[in-house]
Amino acid sequence: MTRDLMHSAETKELVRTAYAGVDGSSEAVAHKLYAAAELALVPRTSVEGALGVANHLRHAAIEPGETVLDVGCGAGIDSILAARRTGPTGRVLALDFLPEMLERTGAAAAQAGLDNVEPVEGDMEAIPLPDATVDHVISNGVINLAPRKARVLAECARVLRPGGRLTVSDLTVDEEELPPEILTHPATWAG
Amino acid sequence: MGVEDLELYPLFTPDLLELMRQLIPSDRQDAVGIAVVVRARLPE
Repeated sequence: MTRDLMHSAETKELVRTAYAGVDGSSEAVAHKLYAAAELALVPRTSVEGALGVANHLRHAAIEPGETVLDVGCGAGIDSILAARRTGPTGRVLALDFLPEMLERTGAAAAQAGLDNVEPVEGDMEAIPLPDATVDHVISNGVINLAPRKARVLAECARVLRPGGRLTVSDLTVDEEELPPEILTHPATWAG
Repeated sequence: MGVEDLELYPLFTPDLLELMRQLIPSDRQDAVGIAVVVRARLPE
């Protein structure tokens, strides 16, 4: 267990360092995943910082008035799009463990004229929200970064209301297809 | 997702990408990862 916890801390630090240094040059990701009509609804800073792996929002039935939790909001592209769907009677709790990302999301929401996006600083393995307070959990390319992925999913289930939904996109690999040198590389611990 | 796609993500550093290009057969480098969408609903 001690080894797992040490490994967990190392992985989190690796992710923290890598993502804190993101310079907003990943616009190509946004153009690959989102339609132009969607990107037109999002401030440029969020588009430039997009680091998701799919467009899960196309599969998410987000209704007006709902409370949505975006696990690992990053630069805010999905939080902004979700907030437009919930409308002013709903809200998006934008969770990230990096203050740099929360600042970007908060600034983007303000620029978009949205006051229903609430940045929340915290670890996705210990979501700082009460039980059964969220209607819909979304996450894009983030849970794979957690050392304890089952813990993240348990936390998502805890904060969801009965009947609540989870719509997540993420990256997976076939371990049989990748050489051990790749699978054991420090940067792939997170995945 | 292929090796070139992964270049856009922060954890895939130049040294890791170079290692992938060296060790993964070229005919498999365009599909090293799979993006999935999962939907679930908590019971009432």
